[in-house]
Amino acid sequence: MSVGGMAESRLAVSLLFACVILYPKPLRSNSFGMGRTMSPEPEPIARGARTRLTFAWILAILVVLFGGQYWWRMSVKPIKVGLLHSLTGPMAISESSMVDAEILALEQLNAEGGLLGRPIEWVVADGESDWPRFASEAERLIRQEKVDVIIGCWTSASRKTVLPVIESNKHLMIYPMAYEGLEYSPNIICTGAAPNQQITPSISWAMRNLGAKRFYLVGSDYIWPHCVNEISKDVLKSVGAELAGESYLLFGTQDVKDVVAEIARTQPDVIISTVVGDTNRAFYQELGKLGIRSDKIPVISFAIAEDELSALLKDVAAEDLVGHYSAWNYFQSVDTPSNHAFLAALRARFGPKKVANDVMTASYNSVKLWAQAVVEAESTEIEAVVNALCRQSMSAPEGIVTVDPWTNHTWRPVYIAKARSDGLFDIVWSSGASIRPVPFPNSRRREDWDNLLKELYAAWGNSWANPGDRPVPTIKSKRVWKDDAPAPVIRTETKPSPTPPASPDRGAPPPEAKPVEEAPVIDERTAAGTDGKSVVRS
Amino acid sequence: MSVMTFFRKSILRQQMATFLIMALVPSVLLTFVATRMAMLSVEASVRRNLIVLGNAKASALETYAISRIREIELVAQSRSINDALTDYKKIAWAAAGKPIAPETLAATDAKYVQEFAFMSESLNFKNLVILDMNRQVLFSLKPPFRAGDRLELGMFATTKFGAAVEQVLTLLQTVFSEFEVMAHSSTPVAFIVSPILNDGEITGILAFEVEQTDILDVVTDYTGMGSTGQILVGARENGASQEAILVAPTKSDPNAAFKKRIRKHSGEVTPMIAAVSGEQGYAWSHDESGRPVVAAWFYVPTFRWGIVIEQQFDEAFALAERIRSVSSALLIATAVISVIAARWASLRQSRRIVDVASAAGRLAAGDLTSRAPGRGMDELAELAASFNRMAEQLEVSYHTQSRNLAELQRNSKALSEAAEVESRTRSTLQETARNLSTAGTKLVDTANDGYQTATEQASSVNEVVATVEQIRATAEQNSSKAESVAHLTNDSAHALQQGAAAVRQIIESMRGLRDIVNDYAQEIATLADRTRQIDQITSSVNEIADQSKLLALNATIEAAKAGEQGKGFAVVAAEVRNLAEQSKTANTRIRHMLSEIRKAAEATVIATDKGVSGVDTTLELTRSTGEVIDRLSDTLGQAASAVAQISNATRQQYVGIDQINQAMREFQQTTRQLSSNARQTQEASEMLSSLSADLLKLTSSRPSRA
Repeated sequence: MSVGGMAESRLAVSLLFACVILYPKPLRSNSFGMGRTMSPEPEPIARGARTRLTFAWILAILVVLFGGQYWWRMSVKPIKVGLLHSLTGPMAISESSMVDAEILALEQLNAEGGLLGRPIEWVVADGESDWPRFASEAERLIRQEKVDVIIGCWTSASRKTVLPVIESNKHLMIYPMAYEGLEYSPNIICTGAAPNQQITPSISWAMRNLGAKRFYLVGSDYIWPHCVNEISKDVLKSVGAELAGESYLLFGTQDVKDVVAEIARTQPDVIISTVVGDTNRAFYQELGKLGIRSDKIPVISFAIAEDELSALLKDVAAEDLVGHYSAWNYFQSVDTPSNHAFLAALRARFGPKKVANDVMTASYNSVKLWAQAVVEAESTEIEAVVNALCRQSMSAPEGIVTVDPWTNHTWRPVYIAKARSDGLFDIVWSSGASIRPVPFPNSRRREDWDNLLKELYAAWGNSWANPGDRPVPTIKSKRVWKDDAPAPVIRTETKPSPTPPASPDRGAPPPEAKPVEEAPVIDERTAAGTDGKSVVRS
Repeated sequence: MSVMTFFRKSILRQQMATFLIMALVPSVLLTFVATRMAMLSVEASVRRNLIVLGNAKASALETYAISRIREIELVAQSRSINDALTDYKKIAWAAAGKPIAPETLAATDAKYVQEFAFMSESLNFKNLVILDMNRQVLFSLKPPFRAGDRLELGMFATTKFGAAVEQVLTLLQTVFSEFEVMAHSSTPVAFIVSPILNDGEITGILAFEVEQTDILDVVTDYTGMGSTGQILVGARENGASQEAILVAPTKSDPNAAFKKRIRKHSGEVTPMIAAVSGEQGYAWSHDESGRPVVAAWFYVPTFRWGIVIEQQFDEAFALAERIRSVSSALLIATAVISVIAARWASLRQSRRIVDVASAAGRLAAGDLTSRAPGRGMDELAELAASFNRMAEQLEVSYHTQSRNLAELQRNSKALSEAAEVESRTRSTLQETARNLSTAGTKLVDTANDGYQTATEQASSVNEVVATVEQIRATAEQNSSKAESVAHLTNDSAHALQQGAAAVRQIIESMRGLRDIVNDYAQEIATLADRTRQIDQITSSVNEIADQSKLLALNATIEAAKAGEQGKGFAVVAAEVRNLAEQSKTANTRIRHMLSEIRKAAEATVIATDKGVSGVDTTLELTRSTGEVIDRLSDTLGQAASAVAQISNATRQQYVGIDQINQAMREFQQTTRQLSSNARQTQEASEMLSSLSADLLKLTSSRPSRA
């Protein structure tokens, strides 16, 4: 814009100059003489005057050319992309890497000449790690900034507040984060993993490769871990594995003792972790303290990627982390030509120490897929772009990524990898080909899934996360297996730490320092005896 | 520079160049822009066409896959499949790891085969296979699978089917295997593999076999792709990134499937390689035989297939090519027409300008009859007409001038002739004056000597008169000529330099004439002198007469003294005294006449002086006239008046000469009188002589009587 202003003033100056040069000499009065046949003697053009005239012509042509170019540039409206992420608040550190990846992709597109001959502009809106703020920012991006697409959100909580805004405006948002699924919107394209692209393979892989039979599900107390664990339980059921226990930690808490003790007590074969943020530090430290390392009970985390691992390695002893697993659609150690190119570009842009992770590639892919769609649609009109976007495919860093028109999710490969002490992962298993996204696992009806979400939302007082002062919801809307005894409900809730850390967390809402109810009350104790699992409610 | 000169030298070239630039530059630009835009739009539509077609094909394949997946998921949860699985599992369990004996299956097969065959056929599947979780085949409608076969072992270990079953066991979701040619089938087949769910628990695996021919309809439908349209379907082979294998027949090669490989082209995008890498796009490339093609490529994730839709360049861009050739032809036609039109138009314009220019050139070279042909009624025609008017006026004024010049030349010749006459007259006048002088002398002689001399004098005066008469005639002639000159000069109001020169000559002539007239005045003055001398002579005669009278008086006194004798003498003396008295009276009359002559001569001198001053004035005027003529032609009017003054002066001169003539006539009269007086004097002298003689006789006779 400032460049435009400069060009404008430059144009004005050159036009003025041209006017001065080309200003005609005052006409002789008798050239207006009425009925005079005798014209004034034509003045022979002097050499200097001729040079000046030629110069003026050249200048005029230049002015026309530059003016035309300027006009053309001005008439080309840039395509606008809204990037909606938390730039402040606890989520800022995590989401900023998404912004980085998105900007990298956008810059690459601009370097290739933009889209449809138009440059791309982007507006980074700050959701401030505050979910209602995300909705209002989305509204602003659509209404005021008039962006052609929004790429954004990390937490399911933020996505779920933004979704109605996007749908009511019939706009388009691309959501590049692995999440629990159980959602379909014609206006939202999910480029992160659906549950079947992260959860299901992890469990079956653990069973087949680690010989795991008993799984302990532990997560933070908000929408994503709950849904993941619900799905996980269905998977466990379908493959005949056992649920050793299920616990939730309040977001940001450091008080993990009870849960870890419970894990130690139940001795599962594998821990499936959806614990996010700083709580992981205490969680792994506590596991280490109790001697639970990867060789004994490996943890498969859906929340720890390269960034998180590196952060944990600063505080947690390496032996307490190394060897645990993470399941993602991308690890920096993926060996594909596309990934090498991506990493090179990333490091060229953000420095050699920049680490890539799943959410960054998903963000990067989001921009690229959308750009392909715009090119194919030859328009930025939402409907046309969405139609085209639903068929896009690309050779992404992780492998082939294709948008699935039936679900608005993406086909992505799955990797399971082992943490290394240098903060990276060794890939131990890969799905090879990309996997068809199944956002709604067919273990339950859609209605069941919807009810689950509604129930959780209501349980948290119309929120997508436990605000901190509510008990872990007990889910009633579950599928009742016909040969099941009453379903084992295991709940472990921990106290939130009195001083919640201000550091960002994966996919979790910002912690709110709330006084915690004292005096743990055991309000439910189910028939733990049947499965030999204890349920601790505190 | 030479090019510029080439154009600068001819208005035709300039105009033609201008017209051609005006006509051709926009045409060329327009053609270029139009062709370019047509090319772009054709390209865009070719691209759009290929992308739409490719998308449709990819979508059709995906739709096929998803509907197949939905079918198998439906079947996999069906009661009969679950029952069959349970029944077969029991048989397999009974076999306890050993191969299942065919006979143990017969009863169970009989129970399910009908239903499954119907199910399979109605869903258009080729085969239905049920496996347990250990990948052991429990049921198969058709070979090659038999109950008891283990997929992870033997001939099936490396099949795509086996791989798909592995995937299902990990992903716990329905998987479409890749197509491959298997031993039992000549055409490529694939398996849709789905977990069998029993109350949320996976109890077994169901697989349907599909033939590739099911979907080849989609792939081999070339609608909208012209005659060179080609659809290639390929897959990656064993992870090789630089090579793809075709998995479907092509238009040109029905046996291409699983035989033909496509390698990465160097230096350009290879659509098939890009497609199997999961990309989609559009580009210009080359087909296997190296012909240029336009291609769009897509990825079909279910089958891991790349689809390439290509069309040969020539056909795809036939329209653009036609637009280009038509517009090129139009451009050439336009160029030819432009050249002709430009030539016609510039010739039409420039010819008229050149006509005027050449007419002006001829005029400048002296051809006064040069006229520009004036056609039309525009400014050029006006220019030609103006030029012609100018030439007309020039010609007319030139003719007038030259006529006047000739006249002037003629007149100046006449003038010079007149001057010659003048000069002749002058000498004649000199002669005459000389003669007059001689005549004067003679007159004195005559007056002294008597009648003879007086007669001679009279005849001389007669001669003078005649000469003066001649001069007068000449002057009159001059005057009339001068008048005609004045007239002509009036006519030649527009005479230029030549006229001035002539006038200068006139001035010269005039100056000469003035000299002549001056001389003439001198002569007249001389004549007056002579007359004065005559007067003196006459006075001496008068003295003689006085002395004679005194002598006679003395004689009378002496005679009286002598008395009677002196009486006769006294008579003689009285007679002599009388004669002397008479002679004195005659002499007084002569003197009177002479003074009259002198008066007349003086008048002549004054008149001549007037003439001279007139000539001077004339001279002055003529000179100024000449100067004025030199300066400006429009002051010739003054010259005319000056010439009129010349004429006047000449007239005055004539008048002067006339007065001379008059004086001469009077002089002649006087001379005649003088002559007669002389005769009288002679007679008186004779009388005196005779008186003397008488006196002598008398004198001589007086002594004899005494």
